[in-house]
Amino acid sequence: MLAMTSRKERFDNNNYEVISVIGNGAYGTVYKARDKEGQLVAMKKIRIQNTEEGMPMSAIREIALLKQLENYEHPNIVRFLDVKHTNQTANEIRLNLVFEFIDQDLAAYLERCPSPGLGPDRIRDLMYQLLNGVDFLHAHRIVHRDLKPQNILITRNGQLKLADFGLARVYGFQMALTSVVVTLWYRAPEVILQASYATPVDLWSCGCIFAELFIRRPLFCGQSDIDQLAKIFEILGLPMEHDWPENVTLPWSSFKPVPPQPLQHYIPEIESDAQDLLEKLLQFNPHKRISARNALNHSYFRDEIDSLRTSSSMSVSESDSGLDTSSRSDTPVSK
Amino acid sequence: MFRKRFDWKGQKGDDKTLDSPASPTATCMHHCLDHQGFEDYLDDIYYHRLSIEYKYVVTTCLENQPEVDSGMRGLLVSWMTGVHHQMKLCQDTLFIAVNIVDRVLDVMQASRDYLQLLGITTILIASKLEEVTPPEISELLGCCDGVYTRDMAKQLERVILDAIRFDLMVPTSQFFLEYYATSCINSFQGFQGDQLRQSRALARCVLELSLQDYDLSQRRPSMLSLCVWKIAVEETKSDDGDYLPPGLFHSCEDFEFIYKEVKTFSENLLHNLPDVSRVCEHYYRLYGIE
Repeated sequence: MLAMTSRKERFDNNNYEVISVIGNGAYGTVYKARDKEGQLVAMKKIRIQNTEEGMPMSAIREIALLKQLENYEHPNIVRFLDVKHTNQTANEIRLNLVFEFIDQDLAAYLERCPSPGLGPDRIRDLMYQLLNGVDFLHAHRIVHRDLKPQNILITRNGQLKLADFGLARVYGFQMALTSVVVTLWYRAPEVILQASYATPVDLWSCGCIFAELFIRRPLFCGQSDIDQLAKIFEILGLPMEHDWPENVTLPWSSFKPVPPQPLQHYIPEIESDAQDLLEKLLQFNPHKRISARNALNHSYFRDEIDSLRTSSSMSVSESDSGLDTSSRSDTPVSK
Repeated sequence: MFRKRFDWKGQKGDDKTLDSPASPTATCMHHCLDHQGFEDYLDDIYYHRLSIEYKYVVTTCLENQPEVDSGMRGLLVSWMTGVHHQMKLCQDTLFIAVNIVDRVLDVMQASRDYLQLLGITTILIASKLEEVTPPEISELLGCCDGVYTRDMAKQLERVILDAIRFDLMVPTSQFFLEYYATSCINSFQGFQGDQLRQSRALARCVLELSLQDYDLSQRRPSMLSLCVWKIAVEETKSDDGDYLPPGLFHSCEDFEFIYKEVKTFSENLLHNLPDVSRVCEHYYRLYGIE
């Protein structure tokens, strides 16, 4: 092409064989496929607007960022293996994004879990890995925006990995064209109120998922935006008026004042440290909500941190500085 | 082939470039913003880039290129530098663009007739990554006297992104130089600090021109920029307190070998430069004092 010819082998087309459709998300179709070595992969086919200026800036940045994050090989982030153009039209650029294939998401994992559910140590381990992945994204200024059991993957040996992050802006164009219903159950109230979309929105989702690990069903199952908020207030109580975001279409006064209910009513088996963390995650006001970094240092994880510290196989003390959180849970600490 | 050949000498006489009224701080706004937000993480980013830089060093990109040799590559980079200055882009954009050129040449054969297209398309891609307002394709095509079309640029953009798998956030020598120089400047005040700002301006100039040198382009970015920094400190008679970058492990032989290479390169260069303070001023104007 353009008098440029490929001269090294690592550079050839169509080396993935599609096996089946995994799902049709809001972002397009995901396929199960096989690479040349027979390794299973998850392949996402996405479409991006082909502008006068070529590939949109946002798409280049986001995909380059995903590629850059891959250098860290973070244990709680799904591996991003490859990206490639496929046939394009005048209006659309089509890309295949290839990720490692993990056949089980958290929703399926919870469904398969026999009664009486996950033990407290397993829940704590999963929560630690979840927050560790979210902390890594936030340290790289990535807000997931759509954390839910369906895009949290669990490997056979119990390792938790986040998927589907960072692509919101890449998909932007296509999102506007799809009418796929996106679940509201893990949405932070400020997202529903369209007030802000900063890092705390992910911590709200973590709170919802935390509760779900105990009760094995979603905590807030709203049918619409307003219903979702009502479901939230039913349990947490109507927030104080001064915590209500300014300049939003839904006024505070449109909700009837209800007192908060004790969380133990809904999650009888929750211990006090866990409950304290859950309350800090489910703070209505995003400014008062706990950050991923602070959540990881919460006393609920104290034993977890201590057991990692004393373990001779890794030196956690070094990882306390900044970005390099990867050594914290290199090995899944399933019990 | 290169209708507008660009090198330091040409630029020196080009008053339009030199006396441009545009404020350099405005030009590199995005760059500064970048560092503001990342201050907390700057050390982590430095260590991380140090650990992955080896992945992006291209050493043999001109083997198996029937039509491109090191002289031709030098001309291309020199011309790209001119386009880059003309558009008043951030310095890192040029370094990323040149790295992409080398990585593309490493996996594909390029025809001489399309080298300029390769040059503007890599600037386009690097700009989309780094700049607040990337140049438009039409502006870039204009630099090539209308030899290429928009569709050609768009098509090549796609080929390049595939060839390097969107792996664009590369650790450049420019990043390391800024890290070293800023560390030094921050630890000195007054006259010594001002001297070091001069060293930085000269180092930016030498490092930018080193992109044209095929041999130097194959050195580890962290090491190359350390040598460039040390030589700039000597040339401007500054004192950086014998700064040693953290985490940069190397043997004395390694350092001395590259140091000698850079020394020869910069001596040739400075021999051709009228006077150092003028260079510093020009680079102040291009990329700002802070």
